[in-house]
Amino acid sequence: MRIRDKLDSQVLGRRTAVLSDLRRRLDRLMDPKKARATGEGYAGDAKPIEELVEGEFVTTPFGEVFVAMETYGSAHRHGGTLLGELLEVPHYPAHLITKDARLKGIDFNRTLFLDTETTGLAGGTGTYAFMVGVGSFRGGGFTVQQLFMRNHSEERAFLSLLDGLLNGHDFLVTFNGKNFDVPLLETRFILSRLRSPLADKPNYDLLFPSRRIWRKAYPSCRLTTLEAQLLDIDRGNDIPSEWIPSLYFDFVRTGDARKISRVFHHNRMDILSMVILAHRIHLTCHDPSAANPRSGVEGLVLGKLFMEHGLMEKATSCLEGALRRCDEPLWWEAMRLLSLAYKRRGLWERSVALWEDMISWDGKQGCFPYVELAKYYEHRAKEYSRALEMVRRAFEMVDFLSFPERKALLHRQRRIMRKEERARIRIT
Amino acid sequence: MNHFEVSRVDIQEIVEGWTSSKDIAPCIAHMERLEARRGEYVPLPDFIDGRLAGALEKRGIKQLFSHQGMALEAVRGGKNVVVVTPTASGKTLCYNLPILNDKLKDPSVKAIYLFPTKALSQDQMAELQELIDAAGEPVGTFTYDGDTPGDARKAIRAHGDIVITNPDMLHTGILPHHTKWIKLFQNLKYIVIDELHSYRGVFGSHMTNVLRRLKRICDFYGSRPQFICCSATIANPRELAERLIEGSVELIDKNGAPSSEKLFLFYNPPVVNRELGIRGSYLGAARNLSYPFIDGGVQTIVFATSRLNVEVLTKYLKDRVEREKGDRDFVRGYRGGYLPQVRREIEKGLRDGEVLGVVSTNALELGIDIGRLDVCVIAGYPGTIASTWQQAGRAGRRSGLSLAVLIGRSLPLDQFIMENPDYFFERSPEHGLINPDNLLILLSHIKCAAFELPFKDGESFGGESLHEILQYLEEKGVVHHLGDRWHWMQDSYPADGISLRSVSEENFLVIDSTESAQGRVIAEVDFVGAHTALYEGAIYICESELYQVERLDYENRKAFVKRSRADYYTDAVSYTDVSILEEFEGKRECGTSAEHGEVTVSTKVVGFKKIKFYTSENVGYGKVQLPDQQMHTTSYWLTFPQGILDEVPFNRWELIDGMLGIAYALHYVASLHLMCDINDLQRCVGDRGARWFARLSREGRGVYKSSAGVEEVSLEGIDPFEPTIFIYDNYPGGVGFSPQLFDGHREILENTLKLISRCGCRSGCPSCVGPTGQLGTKSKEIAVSLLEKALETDEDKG
Repeated sequence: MRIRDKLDSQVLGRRTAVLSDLRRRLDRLMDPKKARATGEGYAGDAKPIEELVEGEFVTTPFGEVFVAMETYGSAHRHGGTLLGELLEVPHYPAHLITKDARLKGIDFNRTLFLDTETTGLAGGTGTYAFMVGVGSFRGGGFTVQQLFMRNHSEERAFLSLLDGLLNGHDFLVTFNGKNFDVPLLETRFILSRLRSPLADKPNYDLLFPSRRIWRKAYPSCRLTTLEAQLLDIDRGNDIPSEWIPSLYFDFVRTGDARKISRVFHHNRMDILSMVILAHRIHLTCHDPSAANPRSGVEGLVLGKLFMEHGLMEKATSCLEGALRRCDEPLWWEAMRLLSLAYKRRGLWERSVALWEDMISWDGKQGCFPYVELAKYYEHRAKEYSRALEMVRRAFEMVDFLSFPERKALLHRQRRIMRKEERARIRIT
Repeated sequence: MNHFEVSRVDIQEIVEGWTSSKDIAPCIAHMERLEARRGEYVPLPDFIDGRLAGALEKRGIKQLFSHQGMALEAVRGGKNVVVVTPTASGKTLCYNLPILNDKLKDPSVKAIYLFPTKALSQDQMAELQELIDAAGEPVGTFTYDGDTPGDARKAIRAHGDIVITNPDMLHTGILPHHTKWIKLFQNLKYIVIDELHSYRGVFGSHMTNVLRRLKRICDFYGSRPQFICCSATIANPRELAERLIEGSVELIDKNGAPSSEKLFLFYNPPVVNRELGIRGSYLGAARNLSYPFIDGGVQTIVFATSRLNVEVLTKYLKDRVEREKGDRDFVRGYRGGYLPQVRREIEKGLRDGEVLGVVSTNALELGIDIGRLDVCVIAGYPGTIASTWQQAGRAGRRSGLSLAVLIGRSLPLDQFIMENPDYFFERSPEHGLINPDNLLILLSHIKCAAFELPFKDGESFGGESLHEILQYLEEKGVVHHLGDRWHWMQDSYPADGISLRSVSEENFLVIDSTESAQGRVIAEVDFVGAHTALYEGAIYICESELYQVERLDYENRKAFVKRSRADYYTDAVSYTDVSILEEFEGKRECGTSAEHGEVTVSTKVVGFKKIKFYTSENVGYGKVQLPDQQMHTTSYWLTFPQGILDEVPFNRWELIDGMLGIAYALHYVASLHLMCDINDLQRCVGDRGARWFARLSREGRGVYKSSAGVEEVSLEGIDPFEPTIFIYDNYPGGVGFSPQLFDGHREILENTLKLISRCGCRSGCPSCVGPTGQLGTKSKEIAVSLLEKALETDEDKG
C-alpha cells in the first residue's frame, strides 16, 4: 500500500460521526476549508496586488517587497478627532501612566505607530506576520506605509525593510504590542537569521493605559470596543479580523488579491485609531474636564492615579468631577478618595464635612469615616471624648469589620482612653 | 534521627523466628539468598573541578562507584550513554557530575533534564541545587512545567542553565516557542533522560518524535547535544535508548555500588477454604509481616497494588502502632493524589528516619529520593518482573542484611509466581518496545515540526517518506510548498491537539466539608479512578482517615466528603463491554473471520460492596448511579465460526476457557507485532453482536450481558454461539493499530499458536494462556486445538 492510501485509510478513513471529538480535531487540522467562512466569493479574473492597492515594489538586498503608502493631512478627521491634535497634547502622561522611564522623553514626531496582520493569534514559531503597517508624522502630515509579503519567500526582504524603517524612529506605539506584535516580529527576525531591532525600542503599548482608565467604563478594552464607544469611530464595511488568516492563505495559494486587498484598509484603520486613542489618553490625563469623560469612572481612576503620583490638586479636581457624575455604587469610593485628597492637602474642613456626609448616608460601606474622624479628633482637634464616640460608633458597624480592623480599633480605643485620662489628671 | 536506634531489632533474628514458627514457616513458598556485593570504586578523576570535588567531599563522597566513573569517561568522550543500575545506586551523579563539571569549566554550557513526572522533576531539582550550592557557583537551575508561574517563565528562558522539565512541556510549551529559548538551544550540550524505561509503547513512540523535533531545533541553532539516559532494569535498555534517541549509545550496566546481603522471601498466605481455593488475607499478612520491623525501629516500605489497598494497609498499621506506641505518625501512606507538600514531607521523613514505615503504590517505585530502607514488603505481585525488582530494590543499605518479602494474593498470576519461583528469578525482565513510525503518531509530529520550522526539500523525519507525507499535507491545506521549503499554512497550534498520554480528562477534586460548607481540598483523583472511588456512598480513605462521599458533582469534577467512623470500606464492581459501531474491512482467513473497525468500549460501575475492616466480611451492597465511561476507539476482532467449534470435542464452557486463553496470548503477541506496550492494547471476549461477554473476576469466570443492568446469562440458549476476541487500542480515537493487526491476522494467529504450544508449562502459565487456577486446567489444551483446527482449515471450506 502506498503511504497516501495508508494515510487516507487511517487518518481520513471511514469513520462515523461517533468519533466526533477526533473528527472535530482532525477536521480542524486537516480540513481548514471548513474553518474558512470568508464571505462571498469573487467571480472573474484573478488580480495581482499591485493592480488593486496603490504602492510600489521596493528593492532590498534580499529581494523585492511590496509597500503601500497613504498620506493624511494633520487635519484628517478620524472619529471625532483630528490626527494632528496628538502633537498638541503634553507628553508626560505616557510616563505617568506606564511608569516606564524610557517613555519620559517620548516625542510623537519621532514615533512609529505599528500594527501587524498575522496568520493567526496562536503565537509560536508557526505564526507569520505577513503585513506590517507603520505610521508616522512627517512633513506636516501623517504617513502610513504598509509592508506586504506576497509569500513566505519574501520574508527576509520584508523584515530587512522593516528594520530600516524602525531605525529611523526612536519610539514605538502599539496596541497590545508588548504581548503580541513585538514578540511575534522578534521570532520572525530570529527565524530569518536577522538581528531584531525591536528590543531596544521603547514601546508605548496603549492597551495598558486604556485598561487602567476605561476598564470599568466599557465592557472590554479591545480596540474595536474603544473605537465604537469612546472614540466615535465607525469602520463601515470593514472585514472581521478573524477572517484575515484564511484570506491570506487563499491569496498565497491562488495569487488572487481581490480579497486580501481589503486587509490594507483594515490595517490602516487600526493605525489611525492608535493615534486618536493616544490623544484621548493624554488629554484625559492632562485635563479630565476637557476630555469630556462619559461617566465618573474615568475621573475616579485618574484621581487615584494622580494621588499615587502625589499630584493632589489634579486628583482633587478629577475626584470632584467623578463624584458629580458617577453612579451611586461608586459614590462611597469617590468620597473616600476625595476626603483623603483633601486631608493630604490640609483642607480639614472639607474632609470633615465629607466624612460627616458619609456617616449620614444610608449606603454606608464600612467604618472608614468613623476611623478618620476618630483620628482627626484624637490627633488634630484633641477632643478625646468625641474621638472615643467615633470609635464606639465604628464598633457598631459590626458587619463590615474585619478582624485586623477590630484589633486596630481596640488599640486606638485604649490609647485614646489613656490620653483622656492623662488630660484629666493634668486639668485636676 | 532515628527514634529507635537503641532497640533496633535484628532482621536475621526475626526471619529465623519465622522459619521455626509453625504458623509462618509453612507459608514460606521460597527463600532466595542474594549475596552481598562488594563495592567497586574508582578515584575521583583529575579533570574534576576542585570546587565540585570539594562539594562532593562535603557530602562524604571521596571516590566514585565504578559505573559513575565509566559514565563520566564516556560522556567526556562525547558518547551518548545509558546507565542501568538498581535503585539508589547513585545514578543521578552519573549525569549531574559530568554536566556540572563541564559547566564550571565553560559557563556557556546548557542542559535539559527530562523526567516523566512533575514529582520527579521537583525531587531532582532539590538534589541538584544542593550540589550546586555546595560547589558555591551560580548555576541557574529551574523546573519548567505546567506549575511554573507566568512571570517566572521569562526569567527561566533567559537565565536557565539547566532546565528540568517533562516531555509534555517540551512538546507543547518549549519547542513551538523555540525562539524564546534561543540562549538555551544555541548552547545546549546535554540532554538527560531519566527513567528511560517509562518511555515504552505509545508514550515512547511519541517521545522519539518529540526528540526528533528537538534535534531539528538544535540543528537550526547550531548545537549538537549529547544524551545521558538512565533506566531501571529492563531486557533491552540499549536498544530502547537507541530507538528513542536514534543514535548509538554506550551501555553502562556494571553496577559498582555495594549492596548488602539480601533475603528474598515468597510468602503465600494459608489456604482458608480448600474447596474454593481461597487463601488468607494478603493485606493481613502484609500487616503482620511488616509490623515487627516497624515496631523494632527498622525502616520498612510496603508496596500495595492499588490506592485503596494503600489506605487500608496504612490504617491497619497506624491503628496498631498507635495502640503500642501512642503515635500514629511513625507510619505514613504515600500515593498519587496526595497534595505535593504532603508528599515532600513524607519523603523527607523517610530520609531523616522520622518515618519508620511507609505504605505506597508504585509511586515510590520510581527514582524519588527516600534513601535506602531495610525491609520491603510487596503485598501482591506487581504484574511484571521489572517492577518487582524495582520495588525490592528499595530495601538494602550499604551494609547489614536486608529483606524483601513478596506476598501472593489468591489471584492466579500471583499463585503461579508463588509456585514457580524460578520463573521469576531466572527470566529476564520485560522488553521496552516502541514504534515511532506509527503513521498517526508520526503524522502528528510532522505537523508540529512543520509549525516549528519549515521543512526543507531533502530533509528526513522518521522512517516513512517525508516528501510524500508533506505532499499529502499540502493537499489538505496544512502546509505550502514554495521554493525548497514547506511552510505552515494554518491558523492553529498543532501541539495543543496532540496529547502524549492517553488520559487527558480533568481530575476530580476531593473536598472535605466536615467543618465548613465550602470545605477544603484534601486530594485529587484522576478521571478514570474517580469512577471506582468517588461514587456517592463510597468510603474514601486519605492518609488513612475515613471519609464518606456525600455528593458527587460530576459536571464540575468535585466530590464532597465528610469524615466518617465506618467500620468498613467499599469496593466498586465494574463491567466492561465492547460494541461494534462500524466495520471498515473484513476477511475470511485461517478458518476465522477477521475484521477491523470502530467500537465503543463502555465501562460501567454498577454497585459497590461494603467490606468490614479486619474480617473482610461482605457486610452490604450499594447501587451506583454514574455515567458509563465510554471510549470510542478502533479495534481488530476475530470470530470463531460454529463450524470450527463443532469440530473440537469441548462444551461451551470449555470453549469459553479456551477463548479466554487464546485472547490472553493473542494480546501479548499483538503487542509484540506492533512493538507497543501491552497496556496500549486491551482485550475482550464476547459476542460480535454484544449479546454476551465473558468476564474474569476475583470470584471466577462468568458470562453476562448488559443492557439495562448487568445479568448472568446461560450459554446454552445462545444461538449461534460464535465467540469473538476483540483487541482494541486503549486510546480514545485509536492510534492506528487495528488495520496493522488486521493485515497481520494470519501471522498473529500462527505466532499465538506457537507461543502456546511451545511453552514448557504443563497446563498454562502467565507466559502463554494465563495462569491456571483462573481458567481451569484444560484451557491450554483447548486453545491449542482450536487454533490448530482454525489454521489447518482451508479458506475455501471456511
